[in-house]
This record gives sequence, C-alpha cells and structure tokens, in this order.
Amino acid sequence: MAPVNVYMLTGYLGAGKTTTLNHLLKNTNLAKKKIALIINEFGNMGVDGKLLVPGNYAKYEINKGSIFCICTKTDFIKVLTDIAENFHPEAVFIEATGIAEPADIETIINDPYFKGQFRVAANICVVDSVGFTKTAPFLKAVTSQVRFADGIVVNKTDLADDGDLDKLKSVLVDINPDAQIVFAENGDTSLGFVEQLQHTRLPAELIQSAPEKIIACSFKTDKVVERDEFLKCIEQLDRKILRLKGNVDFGNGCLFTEIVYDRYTEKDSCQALGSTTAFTVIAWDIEKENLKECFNRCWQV
Amino acid sequence: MTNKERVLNAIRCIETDRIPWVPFVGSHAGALMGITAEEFFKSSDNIIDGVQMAIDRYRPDGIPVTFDLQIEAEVFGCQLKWADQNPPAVCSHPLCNGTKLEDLCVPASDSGRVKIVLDAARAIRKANPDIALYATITGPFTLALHLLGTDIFMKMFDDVDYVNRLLDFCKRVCFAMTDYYIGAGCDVVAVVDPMTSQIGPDQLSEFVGQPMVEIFDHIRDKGALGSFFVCGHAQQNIVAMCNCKPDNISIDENIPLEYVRDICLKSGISFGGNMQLTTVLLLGTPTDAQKNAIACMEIAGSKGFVLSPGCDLPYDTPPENLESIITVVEDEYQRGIVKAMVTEHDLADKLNLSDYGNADKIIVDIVTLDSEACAPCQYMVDAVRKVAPEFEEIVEWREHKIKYRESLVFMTSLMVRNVPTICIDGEITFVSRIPPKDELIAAIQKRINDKFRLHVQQNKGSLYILSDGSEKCDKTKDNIETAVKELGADVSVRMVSDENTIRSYGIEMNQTPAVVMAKYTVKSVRTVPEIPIIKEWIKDL
Repeated sequence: MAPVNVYMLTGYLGAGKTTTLNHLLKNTNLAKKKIALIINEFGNMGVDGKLLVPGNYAKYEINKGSIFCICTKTDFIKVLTDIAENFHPEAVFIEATGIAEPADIETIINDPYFKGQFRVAANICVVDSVGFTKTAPFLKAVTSQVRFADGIVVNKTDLADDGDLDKLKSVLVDINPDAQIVFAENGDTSLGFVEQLQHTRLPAELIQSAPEKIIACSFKTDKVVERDEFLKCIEQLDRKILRLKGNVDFGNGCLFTEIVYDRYTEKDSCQALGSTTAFTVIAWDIEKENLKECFNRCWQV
Repeated sequence: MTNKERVLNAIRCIETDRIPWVPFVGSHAGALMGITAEEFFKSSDNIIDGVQMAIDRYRPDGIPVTFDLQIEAEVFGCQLKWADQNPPAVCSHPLCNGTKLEDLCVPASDSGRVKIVLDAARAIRKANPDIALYATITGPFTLALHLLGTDIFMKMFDDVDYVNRLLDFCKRVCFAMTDYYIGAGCDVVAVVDPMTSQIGPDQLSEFVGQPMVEIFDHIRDKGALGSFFVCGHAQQNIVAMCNCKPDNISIDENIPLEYVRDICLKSGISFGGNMQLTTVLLLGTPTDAQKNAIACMEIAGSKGFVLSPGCDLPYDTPPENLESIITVVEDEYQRGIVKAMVTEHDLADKLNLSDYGNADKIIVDIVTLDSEACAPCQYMVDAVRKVAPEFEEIVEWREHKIKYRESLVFMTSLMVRNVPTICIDGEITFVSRIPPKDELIAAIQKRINDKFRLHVQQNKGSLYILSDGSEKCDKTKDNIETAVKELGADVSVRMVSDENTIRSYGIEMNQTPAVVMAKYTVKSVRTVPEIPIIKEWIKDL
C-alpha cells in the first residue's frame, strides 16, 4: 500500500498556522478527501470543521504535560498508530507547536515502528513577517523550522512594508536557500503551492550543528555614548542589524532608540529600562564578538 | 552501602559499589495501580501506594515523589486540562490574562496540590528510609513560561527587565518548594527545566544562569543535592548548565551521553540519563531495556553517574521492561549475557524443533555464554560432563555458546531466555542453576523412563488372522492370543474371513491360515505435519 502523505505545518505561535491550514482546507479537492488533522498546540480550536466533509476527517490533539513539554514523542506515536489502524486517511496534516523541531516529527513518522505507512510530503513553515526577527534569536525552533522547511509562507505581509519584506526574505534565504518562499496576507495560501513542493529530508543532526544565523546581544554601560560613533556603527553594520531597542544616554539623559530593519528612531526614554544606557541588538550574519566590539567603541573613545 | 548512599555518592562523584538506578516514575505509578493519571496526581494516598508499588517492583536506588511540573503553575491560577494517561496540561497563562506579576505570591506549603505531594513525600520517606527520595520542582524558566506563555520570547527582546523580574520571582518559588520538599525528607532536589532546551547558551546564561546558581546554592545550604533536569535538544547548553553549579545534570536521549559525561566530569559535576523512553522502554522488550541500560552504563563509566530514563516514564510503560533493569545493574554476569544476546527480532531464522528429542538417545544441551569465560557456565558444563558417562552411550551432550550466531538461533528456537540453561531432549530443565549430581541424574532418568514409556506405546500393533474358518485357523488364533498374553504386549488380534479383504492383503483363500502383522508408529502429535515430512514417513512404510 502506498504510504499516506503527511503535510507538516510549522511556525511560531501566532504566525498564522491555523489560518493557513483553514485556507488549504477550503480547496474543494482537499475537502473531498479523507483527512486526519493532528493538532499539536493545546487549546487550539481554530481549525474550521465546516470546511471539511463531516465524518470524513478526524482531529487528534497532542499535549503532554503542557504545551511547552518537548516529550510528546510517545503521544505522537500513539496518535499515528491510532490513525493508521482505525482511520485510514488519504492525507495527514500536522499543525506543530511553535517550539516543535520538524526533524523530530519526521524521525517519528519514519520510525521503523510504522513500517513506512507514512511519508512526509511537504514541510511548510509559516513565518510572521513582523515578529520573526524578534523571536528568532531567542527561540531556537524559530530558525530551525525555517531551516527544515520545503516551503515558507511569509504571512501578514499587509503589516510590513516592502523594504522590510525584502530584507526578511534575504534573512530567510540565508537560513534556507532551498525552500520556496511565498508571501501571504491572512494566511491565504494555495493548495497548489503545497502540492508542488518537493520534500527534502535533512539530517536531524542539523538541529545541533546549525550555526546561529540570528543573534541577540545586550549592552549596558554607565558611560556616555558618543552619538556620532553610535550612528557610524549602525551605518557600518548596515543590513546586519535587524532590530535594536533600548535606552541610550548620549550625554543629555536617556533616549529611547529603536531600529526596525533600516528605520532608526529616537524618542523620550523608557523608564522601565532605567536611567543608564541599556539596549539589545538583534543581528544576522555577524559574529557576536564583532558586534560587541563595534558597539563598545561607542563609549570607549 | 544503602541505596540512598549509593545515589548521593554518585551525585557527589564519589566511588560507589555499583551504578545507582533511579526510574523517574510519575503517572506510570497510576498505571501500576490501575487508576488514571488524574486519580494518581490528585491523592496523596494514591501517590504513596503507587510509588511503593514501583519501589517494590523495580527495586530502585532512588525515586521521585511524583513527576508533575504543573503543581506550582496550578497554584498561580494556570488552568489545567487533565488526562487519563498523562500529567495535566497547562492551558492558560495568568500573566497574559490581566494578572500582574506583583500580585503573585510564593505558594505556601498547604497551597493547592503542594500539600498532597508533601504528605506523600513524608510517608514515602518514612516507609523507605534507605532509598534516595527525589523532589521534582518546576525550574524557573519553565515556570515562567507557564505563567506568561510564549510571549516570554518576545519579551526577551521587548522587555528584558520584566523577564528578569519574572525569573527572579520563579527563583523564589523554587526556594520555597525546595524548603518544603527537604523538610518532608527529600534528599535530592531535581530542578526540572525542560524549556531551557528551547533557548541558546547565551540566553540561558543571561536570563536563567543567575537564578539557577542561587537555587542550587540554596539546595546545598539546606543539606540536599541539586540536579538540573533537562530534556530535548539541549546539547548546546550543557556548558552553560554546568555554569549554574548543580551537583548533577540529567538529560534525555536527544543528547549523546558521552558528550555530557566529558563536559560534566571536567567540572566535577555528575550526570544521569538517558535511557530511551519510547522506542525502548515503552515499545521494546525487557531485553531491549536491559541492552539500553548496559549501553548507557558502559558509556558513562562507574563514577559520577545515575542510570535513569531520559524523562518521566510514559504511563503505560510495560512494568516487565523496568523490572528487568535492576538485574543488569546489579549483576555484571547478567550484563555479559544480555550483551551477547541477539534480540528476537534480529533473528529472522528460527529452527523448527518440534521433533527435537525424539531420537533413541537422550540429548542434553547446555546453552552458555562460553564455559571457558564464565564460571557458572563452566560449572554447569562440568556437571553434565561428569554425569553423562553413568548413562554410557544413552546420553549425548553438547554446549551451545551464544556468542556464535547459530547457537543463538538454537537458543531462541528452544525459547531459552536465560544463560546458562540445561535442556534435556529440547525441554528447558535447569535455568541459571547448576543442578546437584543426583538431581541431574534423576532428571535424565526421568526422561529415559518417559521415552521408554513412549516407546512401549509406539509398539502398539495389530495381528490379523486371515481365515477360511478351518480348524488350523482356530488353532493359530489360540496360539497368538496365548503369546500376546504371555508377553503382556499391547496387540489387538482380529480374525478376517471376508474373501475380498483377504485378497486385498495379497493372499489367496487356499493359502490360509495366514497372519498379517501391522505395527503403529506415532509420527507426530499436536502439530500439523508438513507434506514433505509426511512423504518421508510414507517412503519408510
């Protein structure tokens, strides 16, 4: 018997996975099929059952301990066994948690235990065009999900400007040069895009060995920051800075400074950050030491 | 050395008589009792009884009171969704729903289910004074995620100060839980922080490092030992975890044990893990579990290591898989046997031994590791060697060393599970026990008697007197009956006088009286014989 196609949908919490899934399910070709949905995000009731033929789909939830617990392997195996033995679907869609490692899910699907009953047909990652660069340096799975994807849906494009999207695309291509990228508003993705994707299985070891493409670095100092030097530093680093946020004391008390992609702004200080210079930089394609060296010069001249 | 001393010494990187074994039993104890995970976690009596059952069955050196990372979260108002076969799941985050961080208070010892687990801890401690009792508390980062949800990852950039204050609060919760559990008699406090595997070493050092250092210092100040439990892909964080100064680090199968061993031991920190929860302990056989335990122990070495599963055991882990582990932990000889064994699924070819032992001679098979290398095997072989000549040429014996594949196939085909084992004519007779001479002789003699009895039964036969009704025929019948009686043989005697039947034996009527003898041979019992085998029988006719 031919293996059942499994479509994996990954992406950070709030990136728009469920909306995207609902768009895919609207396709009449898919709606006719017998489909199993595995929802690996607790309390996610957003999948619209009305889009599917009643009785022709089944929804399985996986949550162990908490939505954060990584130890879902056991439950995953149980659910897939249940699906294989009792439901016999034509396709399986997995909506993974924001912290899921796609390689782990793929390892389970290909476990000899299932004797090749399932195969990953495509791995699609939904990226929040606004929030991606904020979470990427902090949550490993955010970049990992992009790294392992066959197709990337850059979602919420209506909330970002074109320049930002261009830069985001460069970052995504840098993380995963092989994935096909589409832009979407409100998760609007065609089934055609998903179905034409060719799945590439990458070695699971990449989870550990992947270089950190996007880094975060915090700076604190009691010294006065040389404004010209600071702006020069930003200019030098050019496209390498994705975000910067925090208070900077240029000699006349703290100012709240912010960079989103290429836009630099200054306004009155944010009291919560205290009365001295304290800011965080998110950058890509640069060594942490180089980044530190560059900014440290701003108050050591 | 008591079980407890063994665990504590191992955690302190002090030499022990053997590696300690600590199964992380949580909801699984509910399965042992035949109740749901929810019933288990919500009652101190059930926790006490369930953990006691696990202690009695798995003979561990240490055990956790429970394994539930939602206890603290529930006190803070996180809603829980309960499951029959899993710990509960947190499904709401108070700091996302209007609750202010400043309004949260450290739980008291009688808040929510804290009281239940502390009552259980006291009772388990009292009943098992020599076992190392683990407290499992929710680590600061995982607790912060319970409280704030995944917004924390955004706030790590947007509001660093808030994240720091939140982790400081979670640290104070860890202090309190530590104090309660140690007061209830726990020896080891496991700070379980699986979510740290989701961040990199820089973030771990920046946000979690300082709170963790203080938590482990606090645990030591209170006279207990602290272990940093993590699961998931946390390989990149092991150095940063060591910098948190725990006494021990415990990991799951996602991280190579040798990697953790090298980093931890360099820092004077012990380590534990990392038996495979699903593929081996849940879905495998006892032999798989034993092999996995041995592999972990061999990588780890004898010092500074605690053998344990990678995380909380799945609810329906087969108990026999866990029961099998202590034998290889305690007994080096058993380890050798298990190592040499090939698991059943490795052996596709199995011999059909249903006819085994039906020859005239008695066959004694000794299944061993190798009599030249293992003492009990040698004694068992010697015992048979000495006894065999007493039966002169009736008994033949052979040794099967399972280090050879064909011997393993033979062992599996005979369903032998332990080594050394003596089989007499294919029947498992002595398992892991060297029989005294008299007992071995008696067992062989019994088999000889059984075989003789079978032989006698197989001599059942029939005599047909083909008769035309003459006097000679009657005289023949009388003689036959007298002979049968005098011999005590099991032979039936029948007169056949029908002409056609007589001719079917190839005898003409003028050749009577004639005698035809038929001997019955039992060729198979309780099995459906294969056609080629039946053909062989027919050829012998």
